[in-house]
Amino acid sequence: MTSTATAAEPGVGGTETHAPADFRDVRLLPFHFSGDAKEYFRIWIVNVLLTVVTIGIYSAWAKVRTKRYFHGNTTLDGHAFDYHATGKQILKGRLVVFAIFVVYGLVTNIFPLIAPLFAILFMAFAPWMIRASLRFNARYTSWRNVRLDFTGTTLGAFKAYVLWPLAGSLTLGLLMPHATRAMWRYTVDNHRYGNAPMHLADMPLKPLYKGLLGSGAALVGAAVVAVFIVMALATSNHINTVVGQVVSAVFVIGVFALFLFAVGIYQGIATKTALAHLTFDDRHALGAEFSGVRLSGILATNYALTAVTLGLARPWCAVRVSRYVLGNLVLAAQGDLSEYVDSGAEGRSAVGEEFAAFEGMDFGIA
Amino acid sequence: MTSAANAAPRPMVIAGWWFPERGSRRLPARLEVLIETGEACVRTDDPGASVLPLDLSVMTVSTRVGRIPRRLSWPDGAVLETDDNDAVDRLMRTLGRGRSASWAHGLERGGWRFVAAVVVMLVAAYGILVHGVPAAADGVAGVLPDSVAQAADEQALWTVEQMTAPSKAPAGTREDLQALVDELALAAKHEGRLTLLLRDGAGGIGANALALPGGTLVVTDQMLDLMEDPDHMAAVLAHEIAHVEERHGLRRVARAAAWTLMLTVVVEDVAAIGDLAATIPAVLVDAGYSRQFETEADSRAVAILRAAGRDPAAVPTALAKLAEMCDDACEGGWLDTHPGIQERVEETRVLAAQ
Repeated sequence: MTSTATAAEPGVGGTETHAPADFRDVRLLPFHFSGDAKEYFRIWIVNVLLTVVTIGIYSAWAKVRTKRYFHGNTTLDGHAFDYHATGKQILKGRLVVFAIFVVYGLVTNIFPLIAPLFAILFMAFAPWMIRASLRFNARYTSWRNVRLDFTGTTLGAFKAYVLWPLAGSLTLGLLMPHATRAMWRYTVDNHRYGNAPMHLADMPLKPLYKGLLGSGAALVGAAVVAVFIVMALATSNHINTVVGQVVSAVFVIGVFALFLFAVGIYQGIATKTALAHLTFDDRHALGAEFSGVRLSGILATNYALTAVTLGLARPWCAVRVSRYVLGNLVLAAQGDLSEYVDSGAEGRSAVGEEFAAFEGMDFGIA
Repeated sequence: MTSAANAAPRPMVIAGWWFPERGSRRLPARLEVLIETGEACVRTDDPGASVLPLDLSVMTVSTRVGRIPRRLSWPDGAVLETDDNDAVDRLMRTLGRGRSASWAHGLERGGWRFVAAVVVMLVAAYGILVHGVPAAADGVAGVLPDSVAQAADEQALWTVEQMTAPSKAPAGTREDLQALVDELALAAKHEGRLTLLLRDGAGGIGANALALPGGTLVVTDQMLDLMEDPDHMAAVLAHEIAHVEERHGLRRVARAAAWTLMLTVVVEDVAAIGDLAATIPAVLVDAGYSRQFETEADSRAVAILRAAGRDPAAVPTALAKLAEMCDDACEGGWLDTHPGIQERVEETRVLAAQ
């Protein structure tokens, strides 16, 4: 059943959804995030410190706790999500990844001319890691006691996550919205809730191009500011005083922050557009009631704040974005949600997922 | 009923959602546990199965994280989900499984335990980051065989050769310098080969001396011109020999890698792009290690000259000569790989006078 009706005008502040044309028996089930920044900050700090004190071993359990905190505080229709992976599973994957990284680090530092070869190998491995990561996370996530699943192929991951972004960067960003849509489509279309497939219906590209313009403007602004500051510092006699050093450091951090700011702008618009077109089981649809522009602002300031505080603002930022998006997300559900069952398969290896997280390839909003 | 002893024992009750099998069908339910006998059952309004006995010994309970719902599961796929974390904790304690259920939560909950844990861990973390990580990295660097260091040399040498031109010094200069190196190496009791390479650094690295981990020392013609006095040249060579002795090149690389690994693991929670923010501390820390190694090489150079029977004051004098060539750029700072030149002159002057 193709769905074409919209519940409201798509736009900056309106509800956007692709709810089915037949409105009989449709209930609007709200999402909700009940996490609290102070509470999460305590969990986060204990995670970080225990990780350092155990020289990284606790990081596996820290990750599980973080994911369970965010899943467990996300409710749909009053029922929470859950995350089932154990610290031991994550740790096994991490140890393999750690060994690979040690070899990589030593070899490329002692034989730097081999580094490009490693980069190419990595690019070849990336689709497998992405697919493994998506599958592991899906199979260990559940809502109302039914697990999610992921059925994407490695080839699909290669097309969506390597070829398309490559095209995007080779065209200096002009094809980036296509790449974004390809990535979202690969991710969403291959996810299932139990046996019921999810689908990304006809995601439009115009809002993404607008977001790209905004992003570009911020990048240009950052570049202009950077040039000014570089010129000022280069002609200054005080570069080697303490003040000069502090200013240089602030400047470097500031440029990073501005760059991240620009990225946040694009991500916000893209996320809103994608979520507004997400359906599952051909009859339920997500309604994104939040403003893409506002989400952009939140993401952009989050990134910048995290960079400036060297990471300390992260807990507060994570709670902030989850609360905003989930607080303005609804599921337009048609019919009963109690007849879903697992597709039966348990997740397998955690290695791929750990490689992806280790490299910081987490994507999405929470 | 006249005495408390005759009253029927009241069960511990935990309210939640009951999932009889894997699937999204759920029923409001109450878990009832008789502490005294260990009997448990779940009451629902499921027709035909309103009271189900449960075996608590095969029950798995999820650990507590903040206030998220708790999951009690049984091997047949049945699950009870409840928001009443406190009741579950009480149940776990009476079953004797309280400690494992949520020790992390005990720290995260706040209060004095949280503060105490954070303080203790901060102290431990400081020790590990400032001493443990460099020590471990140094250990790895120390264990690497010489052949690895020499292989690394070949690659680094290629880079040096791109940045410089063949030496324009008169014939025999290289051999004279090699003899000086051998004399100093003997005094330093250095095992392993030390080879001297002379290059022209004009328009590039200028007056400079480099030590590669495998034992190759590179000196530029311009440095030769600056250090006409053989004692000053000896000071420069002694400093570079010290770098090779202490494996500074390899140690710095190993420390950088260890630090990067540590940061990546700890900061992995941050979004991908935020990892860029982690490279700033990494650069600062690497610069700090580098400055530490330069200082070590300076003091070792003084000792080597002394052992070779040469005047150790040649080290501060040679450094002072370098200082004449610098302007503000030699002051040293957070981002610099060398300490300020004046500082180095002062410190080596003190060491040489001892």
